Amino acid sequence: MSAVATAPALEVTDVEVVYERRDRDPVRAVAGVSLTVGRGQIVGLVGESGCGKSTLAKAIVGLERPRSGRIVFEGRELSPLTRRARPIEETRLQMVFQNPFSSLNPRRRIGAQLAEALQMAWSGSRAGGTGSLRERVTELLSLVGLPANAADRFAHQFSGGQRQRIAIARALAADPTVIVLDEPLSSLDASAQAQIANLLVRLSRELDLALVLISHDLAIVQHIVDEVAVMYLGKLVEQVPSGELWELPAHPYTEALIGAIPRADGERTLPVALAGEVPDPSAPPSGCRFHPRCPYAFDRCRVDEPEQIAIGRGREVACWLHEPGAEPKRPGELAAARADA
Amino acid sequence: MSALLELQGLSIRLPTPAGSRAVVHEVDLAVEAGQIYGIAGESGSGKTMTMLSLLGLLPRGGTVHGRASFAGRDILSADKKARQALRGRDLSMVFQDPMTSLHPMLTVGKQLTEHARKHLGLSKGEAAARAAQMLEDVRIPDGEAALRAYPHEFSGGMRQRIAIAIALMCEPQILIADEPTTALDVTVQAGILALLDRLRREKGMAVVLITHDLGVMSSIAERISVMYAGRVIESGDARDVLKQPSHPYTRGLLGSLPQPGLGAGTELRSIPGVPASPLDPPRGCAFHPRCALAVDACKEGVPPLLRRGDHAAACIVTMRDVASEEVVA
Repeated sequence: MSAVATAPALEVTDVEVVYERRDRDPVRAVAGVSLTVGRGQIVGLVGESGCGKSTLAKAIVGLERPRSGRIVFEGRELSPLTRRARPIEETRLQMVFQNPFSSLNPRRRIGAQLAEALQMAWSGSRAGGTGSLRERVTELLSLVGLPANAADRFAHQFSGGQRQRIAIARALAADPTVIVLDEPLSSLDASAQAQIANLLVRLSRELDLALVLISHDLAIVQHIVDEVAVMYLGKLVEQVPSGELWELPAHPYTEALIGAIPRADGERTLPVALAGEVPDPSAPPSGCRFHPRCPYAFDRCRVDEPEQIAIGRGREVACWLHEPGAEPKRPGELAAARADA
Repeated sequence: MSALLELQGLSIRLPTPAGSRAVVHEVDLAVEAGQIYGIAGESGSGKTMTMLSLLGLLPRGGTVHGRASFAGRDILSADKKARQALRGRDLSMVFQDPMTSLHPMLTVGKQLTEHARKHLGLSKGEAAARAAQMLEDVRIPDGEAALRAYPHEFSGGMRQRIAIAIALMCEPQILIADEPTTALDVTVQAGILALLDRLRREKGMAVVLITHDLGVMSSIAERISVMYAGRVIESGDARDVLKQPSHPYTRGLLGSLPQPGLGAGTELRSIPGVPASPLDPPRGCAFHPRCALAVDACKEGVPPLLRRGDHAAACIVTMRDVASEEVVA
């Protein structure tokens, strides 16, 4: 086996993205993030707005230049996009944006837009499949659950969910192995959201396609993904298989995110609000970045910044409540035990 | 006791390139003082249009039919001046995107006080004091500095709370909140829901909460109406509607929500197809092409709201026991 075949689909190591500002302190939007995405794996990246998740997504596909760190796609280190065309191998890393209405051309028929994407992929000599361009367009549309005659229509003739399907079809034209999706579900109604969520899971399984799903909606993300990475103020605070997330969040921030999700159970229970605001990323708090909002913070949290440590089976958490290698426990339980000790 | 806000047979027509079309059909609803009333539905279901019509904010050429009254006074036939006095003072509205409802070039303080000085006749000093208090109520830290700041200096959640503070400056009897938390993070959303619930309890303010998010609805609404393609298709006590949904559309919406705790790979149950266009709805029950329970009769007449006690649903299949012979036949 070659090195490429065994490498993970995407490997992000210590990536830092800094925005310089005139007359003001620079913002470290991504303050050192490492993340590995296996082949065919679906990874969710969640956090509040302003936590840096979209910046990280842009850095992964080359739309932002990291100040430091490495992004390795299928064993090759990526360089940021320039005016020149991206090397053809790197087009197998694709991105889908939040609002499909602004990423689709309103004046060109859907078929023409998909054909263009296919031609770009084919011109790089990589076989993009068999059959005529028209047949491939039909095939792409059917992959995302749209009829062949969708090719003859314009973006405005579709609903939000259908437009998101078209945006996904266009990303699939390059025969990608990884797609980074930035909030692909958040502009959609509930029923369309469920349809697109199911579509993403099906495509990933059928095409052995890895997905990085950026979202602020933990409830829907944990349904779709294999693993969740929780981001707060430019750093990952927890990485956990999605099956364990709900029952046993290890980081106080993850616990707060779950508690804030309203349940449609008719019980009129208010979700729990997280105290305070997301701090200014140009002046992050000392020690643990979450400590001013953390109900369990103790002295050390205000001074020392916690590194990510391994806990349980394949989990990582950046929180002083946990011991390296220990079984994961709820933060409240650990904080109570600390108080007793 | 009569309701604070009451709509009877409210219908709305909008001009389209293909001629005038009805987009909202015969909506009845009654909001009591101090009640949080939820209107659920997806985009295009007519929930926002219904509320805009009360404020006289329909798109150009739109017409309203039927009756709407606020505290016993007719709203629809009121002249421009009476309507202006009503909106902003007794009845205010908060929109989904605070960036479009806040003026980017005016300070937050100016936007908060302008309103109260006009409607309540407060002096500059009184208005400023009230504004600072209001910002504290919506938990904006450092109110004094916030009054001098511009909207872009705040985060999305803070902007929405400022928009709510502006809407609440004149202590309205009813607040119409159109997707007030949809653009926000859940953590911020939780704070805004708690705020609305607190204002209801402490000030007796009624809220019409328009949202497609049934979780949000469930956390604070007492009564719910669900709209589809311009009609109310189910309404009742929030608990009944969410625990025992009677319309297949409401059931589908609830089913498509992610279930907390069910892990990766569990398929979400989605409603097949796409929402009906309000401009060109299918014949009969507008939901029938997407409905697993549909029978031939569903393609014929528009089903009426059928009542089982306090809970009503416009479905001749699930409400068969209360449907009259003619409706089913």
